[in-house]
Amino acid sequence: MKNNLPSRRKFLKLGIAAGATALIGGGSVLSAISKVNKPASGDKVKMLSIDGKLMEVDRGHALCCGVPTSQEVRKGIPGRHFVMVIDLSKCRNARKCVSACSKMHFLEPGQEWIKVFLMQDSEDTTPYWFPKPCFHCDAPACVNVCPVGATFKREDGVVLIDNERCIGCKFCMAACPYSSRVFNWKKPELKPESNYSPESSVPQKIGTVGKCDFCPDLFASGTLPDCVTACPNGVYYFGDKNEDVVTNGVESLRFSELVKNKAAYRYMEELGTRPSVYYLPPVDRSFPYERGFEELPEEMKKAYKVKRAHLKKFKI
Amino acid sequence: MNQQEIAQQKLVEIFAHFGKPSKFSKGLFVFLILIILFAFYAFILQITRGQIVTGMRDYVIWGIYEVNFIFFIGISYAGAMISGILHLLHVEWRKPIIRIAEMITVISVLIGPIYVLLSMGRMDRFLHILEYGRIQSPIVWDVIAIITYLACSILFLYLALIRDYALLRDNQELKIPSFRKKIYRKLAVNYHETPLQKKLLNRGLSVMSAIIIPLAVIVHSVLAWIFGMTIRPGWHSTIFAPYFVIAAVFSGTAVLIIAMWVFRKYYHLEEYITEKHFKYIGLILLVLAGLYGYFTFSEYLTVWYGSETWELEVIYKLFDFSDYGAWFYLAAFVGVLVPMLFTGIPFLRNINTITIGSVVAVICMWIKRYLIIVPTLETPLLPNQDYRPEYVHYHATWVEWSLTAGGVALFLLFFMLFIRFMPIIPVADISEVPEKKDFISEKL
Amino acid sequence: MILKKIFQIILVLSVCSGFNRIARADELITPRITASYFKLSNGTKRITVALSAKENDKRVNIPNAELQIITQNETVRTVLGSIVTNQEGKASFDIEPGITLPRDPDGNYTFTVLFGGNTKLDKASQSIHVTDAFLEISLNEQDTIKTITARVFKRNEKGEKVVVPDVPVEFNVKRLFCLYTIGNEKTDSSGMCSTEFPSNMPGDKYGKVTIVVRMPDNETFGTVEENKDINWGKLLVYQTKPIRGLGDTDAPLWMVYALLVLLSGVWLHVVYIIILVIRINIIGKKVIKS
Repeated sequence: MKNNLPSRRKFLKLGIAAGATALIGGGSVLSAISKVNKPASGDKVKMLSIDGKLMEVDRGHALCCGVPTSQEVRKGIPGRHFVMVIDLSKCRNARKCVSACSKMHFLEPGQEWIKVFLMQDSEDTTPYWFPKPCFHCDAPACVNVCPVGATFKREDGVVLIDNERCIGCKFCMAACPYSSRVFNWKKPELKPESNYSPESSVPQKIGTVGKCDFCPDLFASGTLPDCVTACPNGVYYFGDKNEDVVTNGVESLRFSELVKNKAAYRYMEELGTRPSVYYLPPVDRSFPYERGFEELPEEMKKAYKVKRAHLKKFKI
Repeated sequence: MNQQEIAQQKLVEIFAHFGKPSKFSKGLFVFLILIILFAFYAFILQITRGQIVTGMRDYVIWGIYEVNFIFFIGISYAGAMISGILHLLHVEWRKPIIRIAEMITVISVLIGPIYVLLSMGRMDRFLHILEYGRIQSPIVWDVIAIITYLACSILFLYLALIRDYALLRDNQELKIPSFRKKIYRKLAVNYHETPLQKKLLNRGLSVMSAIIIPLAVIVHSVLAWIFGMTIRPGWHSTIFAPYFVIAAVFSGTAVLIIAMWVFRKYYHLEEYITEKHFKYIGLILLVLAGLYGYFTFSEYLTVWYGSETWELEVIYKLFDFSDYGAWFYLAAFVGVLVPMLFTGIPFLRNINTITIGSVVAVICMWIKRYLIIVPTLETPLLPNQDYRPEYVHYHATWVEWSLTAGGVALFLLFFMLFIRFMPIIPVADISEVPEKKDFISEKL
Repeated sequence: MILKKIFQIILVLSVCSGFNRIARADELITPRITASYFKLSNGTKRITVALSAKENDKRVNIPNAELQIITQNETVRTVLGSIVTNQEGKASFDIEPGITLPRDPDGNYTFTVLFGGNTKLDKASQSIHVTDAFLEISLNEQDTIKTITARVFKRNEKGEKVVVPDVPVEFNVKRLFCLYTIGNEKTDSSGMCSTEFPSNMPGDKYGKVTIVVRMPDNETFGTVEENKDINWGKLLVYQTKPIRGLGDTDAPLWMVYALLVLLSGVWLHVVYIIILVIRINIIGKKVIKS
């Protein structure tokens, strides 16, 4: 049998090049490998930046054409509207989403962008776990009040922060009613080597604000945000509302049907911020909420118990 | 020399301040410099280590820096309102005190913005506001308003000083160092009290005092809107802008009374700043305290009655003695009633009690502003389930306190410097024969 | 034939690993290689590999390991190339569509993944046998009902294309983050199956959707995928944001005008005062002269 194979070296190059382009360009190919995948962080890729400099970029944070200009970053992907659906009946405070997000964005401990609250809507209702990323509101209070436009809403619905423009006045933190934002009070200790872009939000800078960004640097490769893929119970669904499909990495559902059949709602709709995160009420729960305390350190357990103490005192 | 010129000469001698500063003066100066140096050390610490050295954390993002900012801009109303309004009303007894009032305005508007810079995480990027400023943001409104306010109040102070500098320039007897005389000459812009010049100057003063009143209202309203435009309980109140304006005039008047008392005592100005002045300003304080108490009552009664959960959380924090209750009762009740009693009840009313009432008012106003800012921030919509105590309750650190003390020391220091170069009583105005007797001074 | 080969490989592997366990006194850990075969829609054949090992009863992925990909039949054995696993212990190798690969008498391919071993890990290998399969998609619209039909072929011993019955086929619509499944069917005796395309599936602004038909994780064929674009989706209508608003870079016009009016109102007075002072100065100068 004749051997038509070219040299090994060429194969290697072809293989890796095909793999790289497939990873970045072809969403279906990626899902063909496994429905849950993400280019591993720490994996480096050599790219040319827009001004022709050769640089090594963390593969997970690289986009197809190098580090985008600030104009593109502010514009977003036209025609898309990213939404998230969180199924409260499946959350048991495993906090894998919190640790995955913090790891990916090199956040200091205590500076989590995803917060998991223990909510109890009224006295007689059962508490439930409430994971909350940034809501990426359609009428964001934070964007309205920023004096320098460091935080902005893009055409694809994502609200980002430009840590190179932020002056640290924290007005956005005062305006956000959902406590979504955290502040870099001191110099970040972790020093990831990457070029900063508002889409990757890495590295964070001292004296500026940070928040969940829906991982827009992963959009181009059709990769889901880390919180979605890290959740062991498939609580997070993410997708483009205009495409009408959301997925948690394992199952993909029609967004319109999901919202209709499971009575999805947005938290405190009456505040008028029009969030992009929908919640499915905790009906037919998969776990009792007490499960959420099992793996928690003692000090955190205490914090969850103290809730609206003043109201209890005055009997409301 | 006629009567007027003799009087003028006497005044000039008193207020020209060319002699050596007294021992007390020197001592105070050194003391203030030390405080400022210590504050500067705290400032350097904050710049190098970041705002982690303050007590501010992710929930309580604004602390006593913001309180100080509002406080200082608030007391600037002394000049804007008192001096401005009294000028427009041609009230005769305003004359001895307007210089002090205008100085308070200028100095406090110089110091207030320092605290804005301190509360910014990236002071080095302050110019981004000019480069990228968005006029939809209340902070940008505030920056524009304060710059305008500073320009106008400096102009206002300067216009009133022109006549005094002309007097000092023309004075032959006093031994003024030639360098100083040159500056006075320059600043007096060849004012020689010609009828036309006098007319122009008076017109300028009237225009300025007319403009500075609405400007002051706008400045403090804009400051209130930084809080009022957010949907937080205790902040998102329609009454906020008028509330802040009244609070500012109230605290400004109180600081004016204290300044009057200090200068009267120290420079022996009993002849010029009399009990009458204290009583009149005291009456203004009475009205303002009443207004302020009325606004406070209206605000809290409405919120409490409406019983919205998120709003009630803040209200109950303010009324709970284990939380902020003691401070709230002090600020809202004592801070309003004590000044009212001392200025309202005739047999309690004298120079010292009015001043004590003003001191109480000033301190309680600072506390009240703290109570506006911090409890609301400690009460987010989603429950604060942070396990770190410094993220749940705000405690100002020594860095913040020393920078507060530094700001106060800088305020006093500026005063000391200003007095050496500006007569503290408007000499030219005082020595004038009053144009007409005003109704109020006749009656009282 | 294929089963025989698989059995042989398993036997060899177990003997090897057993032999290793007996022979090596200093515990070299035996890693596990999992390999899968994908045929992409452009004809590229992809082998994805994962290398892992058990350490303290926990399965750990092995990064930065070099693996060799070999293809062989009874007579020929070619090393196609080598790949290095990433941080998650995974790697993939693509074979371009034009390349002719050695077949065994059944017409199937054999791929072997070899791990050479190092100081801590033992050698390991894994083989997969695949039958080359082809998916044909045809799209049909009749009376507003849109149907997708798939036909599965394979190559027999003679190298001819024959239909494959009774094979599960998945029909998907490609979305940004996933494939949305619209049908799961099994091929009939003529190797065909079909499903209806939903009428309310959004497409891009031209209504284009990409239909992806797959045979997922088939034992014989690996995973085979084929896709086709067609304008069957709903047109995506999106408005570009209004340029001026509370949350935009540019403020609403009424705000701009209001600010200009207020500012000029105040600063004009400041300018007026400055002019006044200059006038006083000029008058004064004249007085001095005279």
